[in-house]
Order: sequence, then C-alpha cells, then structure tokens
Amino acid sequence: MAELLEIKNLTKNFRGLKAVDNVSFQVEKGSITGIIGSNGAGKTTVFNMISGVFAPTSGNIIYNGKDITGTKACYYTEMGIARTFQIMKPLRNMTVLDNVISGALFGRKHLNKASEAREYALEVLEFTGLYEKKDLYPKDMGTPYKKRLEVARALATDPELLLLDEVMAGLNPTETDEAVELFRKINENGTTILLIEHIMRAVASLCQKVVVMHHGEKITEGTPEQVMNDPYVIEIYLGKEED
Amino acid sequence: MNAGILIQALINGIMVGGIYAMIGMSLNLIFGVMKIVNFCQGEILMVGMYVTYLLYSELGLDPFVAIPLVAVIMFFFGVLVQVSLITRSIKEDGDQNILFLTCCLGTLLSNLFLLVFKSDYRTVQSVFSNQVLTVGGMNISVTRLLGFFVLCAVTVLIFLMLKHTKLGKQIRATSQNAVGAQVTGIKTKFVYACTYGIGSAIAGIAGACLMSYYYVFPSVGNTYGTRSFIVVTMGGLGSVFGAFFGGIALGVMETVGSVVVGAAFKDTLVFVAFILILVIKENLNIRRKRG
Amino acid sequence: MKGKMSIRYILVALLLLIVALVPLVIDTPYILGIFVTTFYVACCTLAWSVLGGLTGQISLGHAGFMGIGAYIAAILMNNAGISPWISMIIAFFVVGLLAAVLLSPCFVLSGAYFTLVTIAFAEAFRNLFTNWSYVGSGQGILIPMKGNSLYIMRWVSKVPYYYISLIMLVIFFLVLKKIDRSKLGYALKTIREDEDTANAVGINPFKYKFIATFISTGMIAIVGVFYANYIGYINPDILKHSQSLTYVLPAIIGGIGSVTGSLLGAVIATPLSEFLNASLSGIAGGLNLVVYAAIVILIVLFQPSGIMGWYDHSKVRKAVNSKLDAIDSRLFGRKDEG
Repeated sequence: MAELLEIKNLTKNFRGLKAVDNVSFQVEKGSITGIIGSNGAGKTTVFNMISGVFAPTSGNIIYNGKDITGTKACYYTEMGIARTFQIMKPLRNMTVLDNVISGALFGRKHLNKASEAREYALEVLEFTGLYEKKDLYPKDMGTPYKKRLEVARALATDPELLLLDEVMAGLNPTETDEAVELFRKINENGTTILLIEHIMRAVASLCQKVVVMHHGEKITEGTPEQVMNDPYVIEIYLGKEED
Repeated sequence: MNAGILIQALINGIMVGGIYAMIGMSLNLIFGVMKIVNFCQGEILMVGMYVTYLLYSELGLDPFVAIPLVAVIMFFFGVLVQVSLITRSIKEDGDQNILFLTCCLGTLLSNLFLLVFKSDYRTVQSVFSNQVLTVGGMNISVTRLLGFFVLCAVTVLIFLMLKHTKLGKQIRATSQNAVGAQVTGIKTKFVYACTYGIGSAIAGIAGACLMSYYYVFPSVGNTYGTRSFIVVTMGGLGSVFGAFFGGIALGVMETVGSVVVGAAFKDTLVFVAFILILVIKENLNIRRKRG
Repeated sequence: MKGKMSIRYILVALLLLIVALVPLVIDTPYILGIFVTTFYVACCTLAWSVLGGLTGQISLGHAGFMGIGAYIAAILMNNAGISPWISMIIAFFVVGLLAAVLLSPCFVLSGAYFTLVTIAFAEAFRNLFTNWSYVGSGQGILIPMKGNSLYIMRWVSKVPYYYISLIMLVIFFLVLKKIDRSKLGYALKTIREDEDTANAVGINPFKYKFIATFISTGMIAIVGVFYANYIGYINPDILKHSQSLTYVLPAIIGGIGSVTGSLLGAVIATPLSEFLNASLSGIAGGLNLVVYAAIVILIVLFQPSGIMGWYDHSKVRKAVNSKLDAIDSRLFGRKDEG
C-alpha cells in the first residue's frame, strides 16, 4: 500500500515548551490509523499541524507525495483533507442541513450552487444517520448527534483523508459501537482515516495501526495488539485506562 | 516653530493625557475583569461631569472638593447599571449583545441628559480656574495640573487597592479566571458589580477634573469615548497601568501632533495611529500563535 | 416550491402594489418624507447586514462609507456635472474597493476590536472632510437645485424620490435574499458562526470578508448618492458614529442575521423614530432617541435574536405556514411538500 500522509520529524514549540517533539509516522492509503496517548501528549497539536491551524516549528508534512508543510488552514479540504474538532464547533444559528451544506459547498466536489450542495448534503445526512434531524438546530440535539454532525460536515467536503479528533469521547458503549460502524463504512467507501481516541475498544476494533504518544514524543507504533502488549505503553498509559 | 512651543505642547499634552489616562484606566479595569468592551464609557464620563455640575450649581461645591462625592455617586450608578443591565446580557456566545447594549445605553444616557439639560454648554467655576503657574517660561494651568495630580493619586490608590485589599485580590483572581475564582468561593457577581462601579467612579473623577476647565454638554462623551479606546489599545487592553501611559502618550501625540501637522488633521493622525497599532499588535499575536 | 405559483407571492405583490399606490393617495410632503426616509434607512440596514448580519462583523462605521458615497455624488455633480445615476455605479466600486482595501488588514481582529476599527475609520474620514477645503470643510457641500430633472435626480416633489428609494429597497432586498441563499451566503454565515470551522471546511475567511465588505460598503455608498441628491446638502455630520447606529438598530430589532428581519426592523423602527422625532422634539428634544434606545435595550435584554428570531422558533410561523399551504393547495391544487 502507498503512503497517503507522511509526517517527518514534526516538532512544535510554544514559547520554548515542546508540545510535539520530533514525531514521525506514516498513514497508508485506505487505512484507519489511530493516535493514542494521555492528555497533553500532543495529539491534538499534531492534528492542528496536519490541518494547518499551526505551522510546525520544524519537520515536514507530506501528503500524496507533496510537501504541504505550513499551508494555511483553509486550503486543506481542496486537497482532500478534512477534520473535526475535539471541542465541537457546530454552526449554532444554522440548521443541521445548513451545517452540512456549508461543508459540501467548499470541499472537493466543487459545487457552486447551493441547491446541488443541498442534494449532496442530504445524502451525507442519510449516510451518517442524521436525516431525521436535518431541520433541527445543533443545540436541540444530544452530544452523540452533535458529534455525528461534526463528522457529517467534514465528510461533506468529500475528503480523501479524514482527521477525527476524539469524536467518540463521551459516548456510551452502544453509541460508540454505532460510531465505530459509521467510521468503518466511511473507510470502506475509500476514505483514509486518522483518528485520536481514548476509547481503546474502539481503537482496537477500528485501527490497523496505532501510534502512541507521550509528553510530545512518539513512543511506539504498531498494530493494536502489539501496542497494547508493549510494557512501556502499559506502564504509562494503559495502566490507568481501561474502558 | 521653536523648542519652547514644542515643550509647551508636551506639557499640555501630559496634562490633557491625564484625563484620557483616567478614562482609559476605567475602561481597562472593566475589560480586564469582565472581558467586555464597554462602549458607553464616554457617556459615563458625561454623567460624572453633570453630577459635578449639579453639585456646583446646587450646593456650590468646587469640582475638586466634590471629587469624593462624585466618585461615590458614580460608583453606585455603575453598580446599578451593571446589576440591572449588563449582567443579564453577558452570554457565552460572543460579545455582540454587550456591544449593542452598551452602545444603546450610551445613546440613551446622552439623550436623557439632552432632554433634561438641553444642548447648552455648562461650566463650573473652581477657585483655581484661570490661574496659571509659570515655571521657566512655561505656562501651566493650575486646574489641569491639579487634574494630573488627581490622576496620579487615583492610579496609586487603584494599585494599592488591587494589591492589598480583599476586594482587590478578588478582582485580580476573577480577572485571571472567573470560573476558578467562583470555585474558590469568590462571589464573581459581586466582584463584577464592584468592578463596574469602580470603573464608573474613575470615569466620574475624570469628569470632575475635566469639568474644572472644560464645559459639559450631552454629547461630550463621544469624543472621550473614542479616545478611551485609543488609550487602551496603545497601553494594552486589560492593563490598568498600561492605560496610564497610553493616556499620556495620546495626550502628547495630540498636542505635539497639532503643532507639527496642524490642529486640523491631528484627529485623523490619531485615528490612523490607533488602527495601525491595533492591527500590527494583532498580526504579531497571530503569527506568534500559529508559529 | 420554486417557480410555482404560491399565495405568498401574491401577498407580497399585493403589498408592493399598495405601497406603490401610496403617493397617489397621500400628497403631504411630510408623510411622504417619512416613507422615503424609511426606505433609504432600510436600504442602509440591508447593506450593513451583508457584513454585520450575514458575516457577523459588526461595523459601526457604515455612516462613514455612506458619507463618502454622498460626497462622491456631490463633487462629481458640482464639479463635473456627472449624473447621480452614473455616480451610483462609481460610488459602489470606489467606496467598496476603498473600504475593503482599508479594512482588509483589520479582518484578523475579532468581535469588538473590529467594531472599534470601523468607528476609527469613520471618525478619521469625518475629521478629514471637516478640515478639507476642497469638500467644503465643516460647512459641507450644497448641490444647487436646477429644476426638475431625471438626469440630475432632482425634483421639487418628493414623489420621484419615493419611487426611486422604493425600487432601490426592492432591489437591495432581492440582492440580499439571493446572497443569503448562495454559496457566498453560506461562506459568510459559516464565518459568522465559527471562523475555525470555516477554515476547516475550506472557506478562506479573508477572501470572503473582503467580498462582504466590498458589497456592503458599496451598497451603502449607493444610498449615500441617493441621500445627497434627495436632501441636496451634505456635511461631515452624516459620517457620525451615531448615524451608523441608526442603520444598525433596525437590524437588532428585526433580528440580526436575518435578511427579512433587517427589512422588517427598519420598516417598523424608522417611522416610529421619525414620528417620535416630529411629535416630541418640539417639546422635549432627545426624548425620541431615549425611547428608541430604551426599546432596543429591552430587545437586547429579553429577545436578543429580534423579531425574526422569535418568529422562526414560534408556533405562529408554523400556523401561518400551514394556513398558507392550505390556501395554496386549494387555489393551485398542489399537495404539501415535505
């Protein structure tokens, strides 16, 4: 399999504090890759660099063979990279449908008419199980649906690589299973997924590869089984985290 | 143009800057603690000036003598405004409501005073009015000098209050983290009310000082309101002591600027400088954040 | 529902017809004047709402840009004899571009800071015009009356102004409705709701804020051209911050972010304010603005989303819609659509 995304020696300093330190890993095309690690391990900072919110202090981000390091945040969906936010950012005064239309209009589909985007957005809502909620406002839905909305909006940009930042946090086991099912479906449609997650059960069932981070550094990577049996990982991370 | 004129302008600038500094400080205190930009600070100054005027015309109080009374009255005025209006409008999603609320409150206040006092210019006679101190060939108006001393006194008092009193500590804690402060048992609502009250009191004191050599009319707040924003931008938003220097810098810029580029375009100059400072600061900030 | 007949269109057409017939019935210049003021203030509110309502960038300096439009019209007329109709086009592009270029470095500023900058720009221009002898300094510019003429947009009667401002309002409203439903509208609204999200779905906030500023200030400059010829005299006071507020307050009353709300707010608030002004300013100057400001304060406190915000979430809307749909199906034999 070819690499879709390659992270090379990525480092980010915040006023002298190393949030991410020399992290490298690859994401295979068509795979689901997970990043795990305790709070403050630098996972979201890595995401923010991959999606252009922050520019790395040093290191490179290579996407589809092209160096995209430091590109501004608004040019990523065009290239096929879409993300969700850990702290949900719904468009509050817009309906669920309008939230998704806005994703559809500015993604890779290059739709120029709101009516075309509407049709496509309805398909996405159907796919993500939000069709019935399309006329509601985000505040009128529970957390699981808000999280789905985040995913639906990102998905509407028709991404090749989808970055999911803790979209299963706060879900109960049933809802988690549903979410896992959704991500598997998205992946089967050809979208590569890179996700940050705390829920090990979800990571283990979804990911082909897991990258473990701690204090800004990458400790290890491998299949979920390999990682979970790594004594160091167990010591620093899994020792206290069991779903 | 000779050096004498320039130095005279510099001195005048520092004196005028005292008023700007005070109102900027009041705005910054409110911003620093409550994280709201108060768009009616100029009008609060106007109310303070009218209070001074009333104390003079009804009780014959000299504006400088009236300062403590004005401060107390304006404190309660501020608390009233905060408790009855501002608190209700603080919402988590953005500052739009506060912006509109304080803007409208400004319009309401200036027109209320227009209704009561008409648009006449009103003045107050202080014992020190028209007295001039001549030092080394430079003329300094006594009322302006006194105003400047009041500014210094107010600044020191605020500093001591924030540093050493219980309320001051609560204010500082709330400004750093309102939720955290609440968790430790600080009644943030009380702190907010006090902060807005103190902010209004400082604006009132500035009004009293200004009243000693200037005149009051209902829309006087306009000029000083916009000036106060410039002051806080130059001195740093939220920094009470930054406003002290920001105010003086603005005063100097205006008076020296009017000598250099002419009185006509000094305001244009000031506004352009304001925009430039704000934009450059924010751009540096963003660059630093993004890396 | 597009392209099909609906009772809604008939009602709107009927309303427009009634409004268009008003000058035939009423010939009091004072009443007609209130109508004209209402129409052009509504135009200003709509123009403002492209940037303020849709994009969420609250400008309190729009009176400045309207004023520049008015000055352009007056100068071109007096010094070069250029028709206001052409000035409208010139003002749209010149002011729109000027404002967008000047404000573009400020797009990084958020919330109240952006508002402060817009105030500063308007004040800077006012100061400039007050002291610039070419534009008449503080005295302003008089556009001499040379008799009734379409070419110079001058009439003794208020009726032509009535129709011009009404047509302008209808066009502005349609343009805004069009923007609201277009790709541009989605971009602007997404930026308003959350700039991080806008970036994340591929919207370039800078680009779209530039476009919004251009359209918004360009449109209000067109109103400025109309204003200059309607009043026949302009001075730097029209650039005042308090003037900007009169264009913004209707939007708050009607519902910020809603195109219909902005129109509704202006149509309700402006006649009210004009009426209060006429009836109260003689006995108590300032009372009209006290009342006006108090109303807006109450709305900000208790119904921050304005009239349309209330209507959109109320049962009245559902009831009205179902009534209208029922009439539709009876009149045009159409089934309700999901």
